[in-house]
Amino acid sequence: MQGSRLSPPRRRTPPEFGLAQVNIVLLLVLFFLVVGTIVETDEMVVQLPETQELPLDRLPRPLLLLRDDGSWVLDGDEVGVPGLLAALEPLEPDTALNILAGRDLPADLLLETVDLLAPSGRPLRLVTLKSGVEVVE
Amino acid sequence: MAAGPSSVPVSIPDPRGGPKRSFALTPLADVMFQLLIFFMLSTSLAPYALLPLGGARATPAEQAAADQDASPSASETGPAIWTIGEGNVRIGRDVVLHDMLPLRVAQLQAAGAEDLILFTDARATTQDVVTVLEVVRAAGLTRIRLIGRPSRG
Repeated sequence: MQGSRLSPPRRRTPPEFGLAQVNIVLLLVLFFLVVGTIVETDEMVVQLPETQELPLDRLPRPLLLLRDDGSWVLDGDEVGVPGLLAALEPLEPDTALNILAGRDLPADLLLETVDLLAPSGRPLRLVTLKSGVEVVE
Repeated sequence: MAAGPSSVPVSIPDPRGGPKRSFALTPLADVMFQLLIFFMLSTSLAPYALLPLGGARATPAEQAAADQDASPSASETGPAIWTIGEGNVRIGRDVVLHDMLPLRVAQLQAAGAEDLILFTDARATTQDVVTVLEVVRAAGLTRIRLIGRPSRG
């Protein structure tokens, strides 16, 4: 009996989803890189004061966190007045120092800090949260 | 009997190539997922806004312009003085809630006042200061002095 000459049925290869999966994840990584701002854990805890009309901005650096006890944290490192001035020394004179203060922080603490830093001539900006926009963290 | 030529196996490479090896994407996907988790946990998508608090030294030209504006002939009225409290602002004898501030700022501008001095009382919070500063700046007043209470230390 003569064997069949028909070619054997081709094995179907299962569809490959790996590359598509990697592409999607890569796009998500790029999204978070472009849109997000890397923050320290302490900085995410602060309940920022809210504004309504100011334009949106990214969380800038250098960032000075004012704690409720009056201590300062500059970009994750606790500093005093001399340490802060020394850390700001290498920066350009017109580089603004951004202040992160909780909305319930007594205004006295904020203004004392502003008074201490104002003589340096460096612009000071207070970081606020634009209200009415959904927050994703 | 003569022995025939010994047969030597010859391997000829298959021109079609061997079995196709598939590229392993699993390690790449693992790395990408770890990067994604890192960025998701460490970044914040909060809508930040920056409120200038002053502190920048004026350039000589700006200082000269400010001095000229501050001359008696240029200013019609003296600076207005407001005291920021908790949820309100004291303007003279009036206690004004934050909702009414735009109206009071407009009245201030209509009266020709250009300078505003803001004090804070003991109960004022950062949110109160931010609210007042935002309203005042939105109205176009730029000559604002923010003065805190004398340090307790």
